[in-house]
Amino acid sequence: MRAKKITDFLTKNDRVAVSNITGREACSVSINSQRYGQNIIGGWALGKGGNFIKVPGKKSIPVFSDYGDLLNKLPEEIQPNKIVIYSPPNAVYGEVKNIIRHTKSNTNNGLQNKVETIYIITENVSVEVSAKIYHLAQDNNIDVVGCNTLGIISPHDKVRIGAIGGDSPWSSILPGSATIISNSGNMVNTIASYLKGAGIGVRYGISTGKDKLILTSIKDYLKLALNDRKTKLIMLYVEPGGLYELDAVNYLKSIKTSKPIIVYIGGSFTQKMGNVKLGHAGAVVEGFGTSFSDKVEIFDNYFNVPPFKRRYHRNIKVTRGFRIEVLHDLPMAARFIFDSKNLKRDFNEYRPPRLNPWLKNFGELGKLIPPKIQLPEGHAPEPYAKQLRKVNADKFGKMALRRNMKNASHVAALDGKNLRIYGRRVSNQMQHGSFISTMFLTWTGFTPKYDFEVKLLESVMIGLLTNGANGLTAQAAKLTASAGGTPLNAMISSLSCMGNDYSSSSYRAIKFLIDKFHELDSYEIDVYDSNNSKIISNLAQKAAREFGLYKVNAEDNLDSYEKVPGIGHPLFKDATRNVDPRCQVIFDYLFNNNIYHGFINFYQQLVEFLFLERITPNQLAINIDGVAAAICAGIFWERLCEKKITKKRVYNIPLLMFAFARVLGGTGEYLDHFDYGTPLDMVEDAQHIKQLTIFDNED
Amino acid sequence: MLFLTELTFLKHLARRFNINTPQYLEWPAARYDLKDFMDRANNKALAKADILTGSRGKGGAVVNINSTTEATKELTKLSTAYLKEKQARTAYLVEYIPQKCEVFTAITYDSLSCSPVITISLHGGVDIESLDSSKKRSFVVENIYNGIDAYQVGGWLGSLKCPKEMISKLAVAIVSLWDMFISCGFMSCEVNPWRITKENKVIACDFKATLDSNNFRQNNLGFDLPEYPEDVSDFEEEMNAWNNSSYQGQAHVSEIPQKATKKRKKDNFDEQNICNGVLPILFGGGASLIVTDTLIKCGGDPLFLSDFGGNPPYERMKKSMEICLRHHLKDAGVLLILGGKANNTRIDVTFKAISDAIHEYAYLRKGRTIPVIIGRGGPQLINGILTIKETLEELEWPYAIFGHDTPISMVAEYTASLYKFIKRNPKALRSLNKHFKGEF
Repeated sequence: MRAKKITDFLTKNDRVAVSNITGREACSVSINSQRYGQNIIGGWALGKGGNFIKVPGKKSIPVFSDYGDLLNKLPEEIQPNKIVIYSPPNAVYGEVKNIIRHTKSNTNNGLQNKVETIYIITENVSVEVSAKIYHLAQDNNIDVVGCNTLGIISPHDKVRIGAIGGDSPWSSILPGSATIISNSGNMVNTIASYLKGAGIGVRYGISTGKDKLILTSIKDYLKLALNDRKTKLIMLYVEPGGLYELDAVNYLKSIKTSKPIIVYIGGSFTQKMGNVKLGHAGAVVEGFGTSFSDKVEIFDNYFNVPPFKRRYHRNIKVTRGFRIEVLHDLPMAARFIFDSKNLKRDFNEYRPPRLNPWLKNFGELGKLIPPKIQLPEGHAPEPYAKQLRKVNADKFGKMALRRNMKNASHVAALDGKNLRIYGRRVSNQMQHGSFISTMFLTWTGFTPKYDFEVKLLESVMIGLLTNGANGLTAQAAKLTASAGGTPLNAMISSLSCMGNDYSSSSYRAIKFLIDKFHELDSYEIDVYDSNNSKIISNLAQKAAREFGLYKVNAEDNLDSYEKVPGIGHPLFKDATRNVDPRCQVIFDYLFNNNIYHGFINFYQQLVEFLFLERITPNQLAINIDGVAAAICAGIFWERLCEKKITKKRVYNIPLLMFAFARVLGGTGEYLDHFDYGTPLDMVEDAQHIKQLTIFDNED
Repeated sequence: MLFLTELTFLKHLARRFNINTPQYLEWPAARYDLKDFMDRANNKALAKADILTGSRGKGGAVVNINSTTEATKELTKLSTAYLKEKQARTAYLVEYIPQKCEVFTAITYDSLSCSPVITISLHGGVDIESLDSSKKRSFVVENIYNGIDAYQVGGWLGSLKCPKEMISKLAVAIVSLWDMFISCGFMSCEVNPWRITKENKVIACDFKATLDSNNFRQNNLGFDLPEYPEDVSDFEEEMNAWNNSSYQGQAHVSEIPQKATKKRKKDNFDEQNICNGVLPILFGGGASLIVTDTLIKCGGDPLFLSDFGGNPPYERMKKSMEICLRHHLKDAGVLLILGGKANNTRIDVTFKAISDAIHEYAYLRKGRTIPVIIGRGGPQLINGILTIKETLEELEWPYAIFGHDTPISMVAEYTASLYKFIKRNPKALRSLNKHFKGEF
């Protein structure tokens, strides 16, 4: 082996080159490694030469067309000394041969052999190729780690090779005094987090790889870790297969060392299985020393103490270390060793591991589960809790799962006997429900929770039926009658007259209300609880000021601006304090029945603040479609907070109510006009038409 | 790993590599052919089952034959023999070779020297493990590029005190075996025994080998590997094919023999209540071993071993999950989705894929509802767990989600206790599946 000390595997001064660096995994890992340690001097990928891999906040990584190109173009002082191979399995041997060919040619030209270690991350390299790589590298004084390694990390130097530590190695692996040597790359991370619980950090974290052939053996790593002054504890994670542990323990027996070792051997069940095919292909019979039980025997004999138990006897004299049988005992075991050897821990202990569900909902099952298997209340630690809150807030309302909806419906169903709407029998609704609540059920999948909500819906629908015979929807229906169209044409005509500037105010109003209420720090409030009136009043004041600022800015820049949706009726605008009489009916109903309605109250406060703060010249009227939006928002708020309805559906309901009512109003105008009107009586006299285009009569 | 048996060796490989073998005849065969074979073999032959297991002799899968009638009877029987949970594919006859000496040879890779190693014993025909270490020796192939030659092998045989008259032909035979080993991409191969006749003819009288599925040479053998009955379950077969279709992300599963988990098959009443184990979707080789260990120790009965780590892309993970649900949701008590703190696997991608698979294959096809225990850490964790939470909320599946601050072994321990409760309380599963109507 070339490495004489553990730091020879990785230090902050290393210069790392990455093969196949533009590959999916190599690219994302290299970006994170560069953010951590900035030790990647370049990479190469077929046909990708000349590109750069951008690293946020750090220097980009240049990509070369092949290894030779990289050597030719990089200056002498930053030629790579560590190589990471991410190429596909059938290309790995070629890559290694190529690297060694260039290394040899350097040596022949009197240049120093730069490459010291090759890390092969690629999995599924054949045993034959692994053996060939081993001998080829050994002949050229190069160490090979892998194949199928995840890499190595040195938190002291803040550098890593490969993916150990994930996307945030700085937070998951803290510097300290334990060297982890693990057959599994993922377990380096897991073990590091267990040790953190005992106040112990990591000196080096090494993933050996677990293919049939491990090209740098556990014995070699152990030698280096034992000689490393900063390593106080060695943690081994091993799996069945190979004679590496037997070899390592024979070595340990041949030397005198007081450095403690903790071993965890995974895979007890493999004893009873023939061919275990996991990511690790090590389970091959080579006589004594390869199986789980052999490895248990080898280590227990060496340690000469029983495996660690949670109530490990203080009188047991641990000199060489011990085996642990349950991995989550590791913090306790490490603490035991450090205390019994009077070793100083690296930092204060973190909270010991425990069952901590970040999220749980056992629903009905939870009521049946006996207390001893009930999960405790848990919470996500920071920064995850903050992220959870943020993402949860961003994802306000239900995220519906999409599917092919052809020949599928949640709405209507006929089970052979009963017609159902969202699972509810139509006959029951006919007997006990109302039209308005059933309409709501059809549109949303549920009926309003409170009776007063149904009453409000009904009132507002009456209020929406018409805004006079001169309204666009009514005019459209009358035009249809005048032309001799059918009532169905009239309905469509009325609908055709609704657009962005007419009738869509209710859509914008409910969106405005939902967005504003969602801005509250604790938005999951009961909007019918008058105790929340202060919060809502503050929210209205804030909204008024924001609008005022926005309006002033827009006017200063001579820009047009969007008005607050749902307020400012064109008819009721001249008084100091304006009210739409239809809305007054709703307000009176709420007042007389002692019902607090957060959304309506918000609008009432908003128009008042706009006036008081002189943003509007008088107190604007709240429009009927604004009130309709507020009533719907009240019905939906709880379900939105519980993620039981999508925001999109919520936005559409007041619009549908408006459209539905106006179509009914329009058809009334049609029927009236059809009975009493004369054909084509809506045709305008030509002399009333202004001709705006000048034309030559001779044309 | 793929296995090669003696019959495949006799049919396809021995002649190609100039290795002497006894005459053989594959069953079924016409009585005329059988009679002809027995005549040529002087009515002394061995009937053997073609089966993927060792110790055939001790297990009664090798029988001495002295007549055509006996051959017909035994071959019929052996062709459906069942040994060590494996079923025979067919049976065959080989002529009996009288010998003056039997030799054992095996070639494999040695984990310490990282080289091929040839083990030779002049006391062949018995279990090599039972032989005293003084009676067998392993020789390292020093140069894997050049391989070995007959002079080198001759030297090894000489050091074993092999009778001189045997050395030349035995050395050539061992070199031929090496040629086959390296040309076919074997991980190991064994001839036990070579029988040395009075005329010093060296004949390979039994053979087995394992192929390295990662070695490109095993794709170019020149013949199709025979299929053995019940070698793998439908689930394993489908997942293996899926796993081999790409090297991006792993899709490794292995069924667990019943003896390993102490589980009882379908011991629970009607279809709605079948609860045979925990359905484990595990990530990372190390985590898989630890979680499976813990589940078995705590009575969690994992339905299979799995490792879906290696940063699988969306499509890869989704189909892997679909296959697992299709084969095993119907007899699972708890779904466990568990891995350590991922280094590179994007949790949002894998969890989105899992969520979509659960939605499509469990919910839309009206599969049963089971509780889900999740534990994971790694890149894009929060987006991942919120995605899966929303799906489970929507489907009304009970769930608990742990982060990487809860050790995977503790999550596995808890899952086992929840599973045991559900298994003992059919009411619990039934309460979740009021509308379940059997197979989906």
